[in-house]
Amino acid sequence: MAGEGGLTELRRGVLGPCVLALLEIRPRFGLELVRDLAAADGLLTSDGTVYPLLNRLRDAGLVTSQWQDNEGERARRYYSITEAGTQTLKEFRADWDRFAVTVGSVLNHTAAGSGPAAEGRPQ
Amino acid sequence: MSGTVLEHQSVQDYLHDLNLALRGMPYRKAYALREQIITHLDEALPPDADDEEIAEVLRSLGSPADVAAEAVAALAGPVADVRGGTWLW
Repeated sequence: MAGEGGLTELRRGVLGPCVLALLEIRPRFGLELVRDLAAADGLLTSDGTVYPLLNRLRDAGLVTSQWQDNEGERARRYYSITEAGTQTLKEFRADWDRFAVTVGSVLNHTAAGSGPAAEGRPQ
Repeated sequence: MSGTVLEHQSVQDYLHDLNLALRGMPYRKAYALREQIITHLDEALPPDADDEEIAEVLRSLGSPADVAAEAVAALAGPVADVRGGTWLW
């Protein structure tokens, strides 16, 4: 398993899109989003860091929030994805797919230029 | 003990440390984050939470320093990727 330091950097790069992907399904309030992220094993080390990320996404116009007063429940601030957020997520998905293939091929020595010793190596 | 779980000493200590770690941040941003953390604690902890439950939720939250560091990092602006494009988070 990758060392904690390496994972931290990987998480930092993908957590924003993961938040957007969850909000794409439906708006959520803070604790709900934290719990859904925490349920994805290894994605979240620290619950509290979700809030600065949400604020950053909001400042960038990718997320919006508003108070909702659902019957029988306490008033809560719900976070929703914006049109710009949906577009950004779509672009990230395409980037991620390409990136994962590229990184995988380099890691598994199947990329062009990996060297003669790599050819035919079982995966 | 009367009052809400937010008045518990360890929660107060956490919020105090968070305030210290957020010093230097624009007031409105620091205030907004603090309110989000308080709401999180209020939602996550039942009114009769014991010391252990409170400690567990605070531990899961992460240290005030880590939470504040994320907020301060966000002030630096968008993260640039290696191709020179810009990720907006």
